Amino acid sequence: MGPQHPSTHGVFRMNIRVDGETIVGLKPVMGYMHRNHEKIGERNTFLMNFPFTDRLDYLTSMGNNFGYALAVEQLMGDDAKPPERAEYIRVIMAELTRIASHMWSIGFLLNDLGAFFTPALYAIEERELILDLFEWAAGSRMMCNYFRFGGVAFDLPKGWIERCRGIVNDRLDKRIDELDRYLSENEILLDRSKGVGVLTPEQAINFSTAGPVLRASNVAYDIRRAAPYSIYDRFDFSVITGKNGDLYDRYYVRLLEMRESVRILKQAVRDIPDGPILPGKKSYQIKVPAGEAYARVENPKGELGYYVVADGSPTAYRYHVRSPSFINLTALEQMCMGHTIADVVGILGSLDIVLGEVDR
Amino acid sequence: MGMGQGVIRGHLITLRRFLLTFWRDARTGGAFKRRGGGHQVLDFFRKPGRGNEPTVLQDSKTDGLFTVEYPDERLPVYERFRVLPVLVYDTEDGNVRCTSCNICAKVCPPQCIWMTQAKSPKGTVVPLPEDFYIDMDVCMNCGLCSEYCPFDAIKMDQNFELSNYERHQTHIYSLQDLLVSSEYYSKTHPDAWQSSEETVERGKVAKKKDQRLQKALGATKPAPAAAKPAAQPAKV
Ligand code: SF4
Ligand code: SF4
Repeated sequence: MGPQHPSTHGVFRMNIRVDGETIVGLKPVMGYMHRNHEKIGERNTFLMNFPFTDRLDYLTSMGNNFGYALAVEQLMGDDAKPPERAEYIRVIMAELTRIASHMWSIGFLLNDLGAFFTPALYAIEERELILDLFEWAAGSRMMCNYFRFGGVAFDLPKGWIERCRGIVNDRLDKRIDELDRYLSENEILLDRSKGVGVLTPEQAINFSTAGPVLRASNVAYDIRRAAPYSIYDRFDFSVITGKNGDLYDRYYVRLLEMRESVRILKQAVRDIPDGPILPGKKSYQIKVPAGEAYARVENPKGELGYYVVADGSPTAYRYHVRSPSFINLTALEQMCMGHTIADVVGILGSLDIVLGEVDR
Repeated sequence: MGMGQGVIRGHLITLRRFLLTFWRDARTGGAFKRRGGGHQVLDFFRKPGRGNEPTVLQDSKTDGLFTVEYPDERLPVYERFRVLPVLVYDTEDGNVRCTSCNICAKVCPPQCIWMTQAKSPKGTVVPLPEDFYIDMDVCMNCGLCSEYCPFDAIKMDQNFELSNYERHQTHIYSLQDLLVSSEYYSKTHPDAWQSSEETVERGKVAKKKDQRLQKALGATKPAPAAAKPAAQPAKV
């Protein structure tokens, strides 16, 4: 069966065993994009790998940059300590990414459930504004390539922060409310999603799922709180959890998480200081001392981790990505058992996978 | 909540959006007009001239549905927006800024840049590119080459309308295809052009260029690549 989700074209299908309409077995079949991200990461110099991380989960390129930058900065130590302003810019970008990605995932969850196509279009509108901001600051809407070791590539252009404030303070909350009113009590959505694809807390932990999938199963685990990175410990926000771990909770957790992101953003755009955005001069020759590092970020889809082993040469000796989409997929069979074919599509949508991350 | 109320509420929101869109268009005088067209009724069928399309900026106040009727309307092009790299030559004297130092090729992630350095007739190295190729099908538009070029020679262009009939020869850009004038660059990147960093950089590069020319003149004949590009620039 498949491809079903818009992003599963050619690279993912499900091998389903059915009894009538009921699922009795499911094996995800990963196809290939033939990109070989991890191997290329061992050929690339550390800097050259940035644009490749954009292409992992191509809806959250800022977040992908973030994790990779943290991993290599961990190796470089004090040489690459981001200045204050850069930290704020990073958090702003990462949270904007979260909103854009959750918007997309809610829109397309509804698409998978058969609501062609209005919710998706509504959700894309806010994403559009956010991508405009990315394009303005970084030069590209989706392949941002914006982070550098110790900071970000460019300072924010004039007027950027004002427009960002406008969007964050006056607009996003209202739009999330509207989406909430539009969808959350819709009887058809409730019917299709309540009690479907349940993952108990124990199962969610045992499958090592992450992000909204884990939190919907009532496990309050958010890396921004559990192991704060960058300057997340300064912001006031709560970790959202669901109760039942079903499809509806995964939808609703994402919606509430967007509100928390707006909360963080409001604090960040209020407090952002002036100053440099890189600790030293820009250089393409980056010296990374030998050692190994694992850094992780709470990406919109879950824990995104980078494991980098450096041997003192200009390229990584070993480079591995722990990508949330791939690992969340392992729980797919568990969630689908006993449901019908039509539910499988929704359950897959609720995982919010991006196949760039599944095949590396 | 009673049966069906959630669905009805959803429909009311859709209806509100629908009406808002028309209200916005009526407010801005665009309700009965083809977007990007003229003011008369008959103008409905007229397209705006190429390059004169109105720009639509969507910001925090936009309501109704977001539709930009490209190509009759356009989104703003931001200065940093990057598509493909170009090489800059100075409009005044036609000199290519590139010194063929190879840094961009070293830093290019998919390794799609390659070049040969110019040689004087005596066989000594001249800091100019004899030829310079970029495989545009491989280029991932990351902008690293332009970010790390020490001579401000390679820059990212904003032209995104690149459709083409043939993709084997035409997508390997050579020096001639890549060259743009500094005038062109100053128009597409006004802020960067005026920024203090680039102005200082230009001063430095001018000095280096002088030395380079002295060196080239010191050789028996001027280096071939220095004169060639100026004769027929690809884009102005
Ligand atoms: S474009 Fe810049 S980096 Fe590339 S060879 Fe020329 S001077 Fe060096
Ligand atoms: S934009 Fe990136 S991929 Fe393209 S030529 Fe420059 S460095 Fe290479």
